[in-house]
Amino acid sequence: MKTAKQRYCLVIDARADEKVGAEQRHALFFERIKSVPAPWGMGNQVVPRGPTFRDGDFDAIGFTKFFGGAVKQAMLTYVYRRTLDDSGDSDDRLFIDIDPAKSDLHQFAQVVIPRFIEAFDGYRAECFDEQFLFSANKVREGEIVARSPEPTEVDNLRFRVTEVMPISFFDELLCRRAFNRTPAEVLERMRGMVEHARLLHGGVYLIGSTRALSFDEAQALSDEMTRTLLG
Amino acid sequence: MRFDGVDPNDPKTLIDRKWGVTTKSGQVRQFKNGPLRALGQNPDYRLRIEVPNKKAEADAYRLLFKSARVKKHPQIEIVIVEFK
Repeated sequence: MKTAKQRYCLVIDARADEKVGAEQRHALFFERIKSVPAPWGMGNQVVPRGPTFRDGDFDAIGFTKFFGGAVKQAMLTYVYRRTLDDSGDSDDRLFIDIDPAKSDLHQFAQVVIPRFIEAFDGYRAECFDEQFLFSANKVREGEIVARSPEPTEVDNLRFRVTEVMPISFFDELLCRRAFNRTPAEVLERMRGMVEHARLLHGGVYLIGSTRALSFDEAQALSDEMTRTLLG
Repeated sequence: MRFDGVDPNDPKTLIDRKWGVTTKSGQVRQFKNGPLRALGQNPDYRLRIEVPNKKAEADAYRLLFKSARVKKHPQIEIVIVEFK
């Protein structure tokens, strides 16, 4: 019987800032990933078009073909630098969806994601099996530690973490706001229970596992990481 | 903003019927600049996205995540219905 292929989603959130225009962030990102190992760096590629905001205060730029191969979708989203506030609504984002069966997950987690976080100046990053998207809207059976409450309003991503994904990054401000801890304290707390943890870009970077886990394994890992940080 | 309908039992639930959903940048941009903006300005309204099958349902969740960066939205529900 044919089974659905797994898809891993990486999202990096970056606070938009009036001092750094969207076009400037876009150009800087591609400049900074020049030296990332193939197939994740610039190579001889042309930089995708920058944000234009023709249709509103938000622009999305697809650049899936830039990477090719194992990448199922790549997209950058930018917000217009006007009426920004301290909320996730005022974030620029990088999304990359990959096929884990065709990817070197160890390289992706250990090298590529950290370089992309630095290049995009992210404050938060998550990489997870996309089944997490679907399961969030289904009733989960059995006892779970970190059930996301039924949302009554959209969580402010800059302040709150309700679920720690198998690969996660939180910068210092978010560590303080969400966990009331420094990145070093988060690192110390997670040491031993994740495959790898280190300080990165003024924050903490956690890799639960670089294996292609089944969704059940990934969910159990995420629950344990969440309980350790938020429980 | 134009929607495909209104829930007869709840005039504040708008219906967006989608035969197919993509997460291409154009659709993400349209969804963010259109329905999501309208819902943000009208927090007492809800949106029901009706899709014909599980594949479209999965694509709708992907669209929601890429445009709103949430796995679940308090004002949006995605349901599979039989299209006539």
